[in-house]
Amino acid sequence: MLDAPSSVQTPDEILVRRARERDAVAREELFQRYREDAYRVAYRLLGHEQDALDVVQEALIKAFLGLGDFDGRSGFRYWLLRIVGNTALDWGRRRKRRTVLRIGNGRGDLPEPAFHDDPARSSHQQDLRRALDKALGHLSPKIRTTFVLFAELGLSYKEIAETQDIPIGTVMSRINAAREKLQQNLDWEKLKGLD
Amino acid sequence: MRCDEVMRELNLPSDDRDNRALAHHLAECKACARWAEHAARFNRLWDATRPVDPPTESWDWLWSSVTARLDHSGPVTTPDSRPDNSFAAVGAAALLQHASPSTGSWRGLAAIGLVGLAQAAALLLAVNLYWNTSDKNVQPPRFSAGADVAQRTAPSLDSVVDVEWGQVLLIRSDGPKPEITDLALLEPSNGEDPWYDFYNRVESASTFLAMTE
Repeated sequence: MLDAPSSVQTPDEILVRRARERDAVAREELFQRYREDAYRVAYRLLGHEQDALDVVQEALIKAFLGLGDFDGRSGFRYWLLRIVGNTALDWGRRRKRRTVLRIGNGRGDLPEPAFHDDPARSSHQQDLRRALDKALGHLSPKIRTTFVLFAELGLSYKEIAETQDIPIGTVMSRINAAREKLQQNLDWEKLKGLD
Repeated sequence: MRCDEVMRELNLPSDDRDNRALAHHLAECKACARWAEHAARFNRLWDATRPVDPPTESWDWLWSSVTARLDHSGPVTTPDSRPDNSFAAVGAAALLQHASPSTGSWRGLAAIGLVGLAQAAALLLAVNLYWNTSDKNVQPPRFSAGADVAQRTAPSLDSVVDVEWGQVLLIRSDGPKPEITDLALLEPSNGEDPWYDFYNRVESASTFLAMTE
């Protein structure tokens, strides 16, 4: 028996048009649709949950304030992901440079997320994450972003090309270069548990 | 299937792969088989470190911060409706763009304040330059108490600063001589734009005189 048809989603283009007219519901719908993609990309580029949330927040503000500049050639999702990628890289550079002065919990407005309930799992995962983040850190920002869009979101070459505004051939060569470098830079002896 | 095609094939989602041809090649080519094994191992590492979705309260908090910020901003601008690129508008926008939104409210206000101060300082500098380069017998005008304080704390320039059209100058004094930097000519380091550099320089300057465009 056929499943009942799911409710039809309002296309992004319509939501974007409404969001330009300051429609709060349309804005929130766009946020709900793409917040996880945005977070995952930011997280992979920065390796830190709270920084990733900060970047998503900044990117959303930039995106909604800059909707007038969105020409609609690529989809809103790709346009937002491009802003997220650029914001995350900018954030990473600033993080390297600044001396962080933390007052109180040091996290500004957002509550500190507690994502890891199991300490053992958390510890092992943190080791793996540290190793991977270190290896990712050796990639150039452009290659890193391409690879993250590919590996984390599973975007196709064409979608990545749209997001980054580069030819598909460049996407492919960046992904291969990233894979090779990551393989070289990872200390597989320490990561034996994965085998 | 050729060796160079194996890499591309393995990068495809498993449903889209030509699995039969791939398996055939891997069975015969040791180098590609090793490469495929490494790729699979890497994929396991990637999957094991996938981020956990933030809790709902984090999203709620984030979204309320975003909407609060959007509600305090003007209407979305289109290229036709955008205002002139006055110094204050460009400066404030650029500074606000570099301000962290999680600390957005205070940083944003600080940025606006900084631009305002820069303009006030530029005005004082212009008056100061005028009196230093014109007839010394003429007594400078008396300023209000606020301006007196500004004059006491801000060092004066003894030279004329020529500002050409299109220049973005940061004029500051950390020592005996003022330092004038044309931000428009700065080479972006690590891909950073001059505004970012400007922001860093403002933060590092112990005495900030003026910025002008």
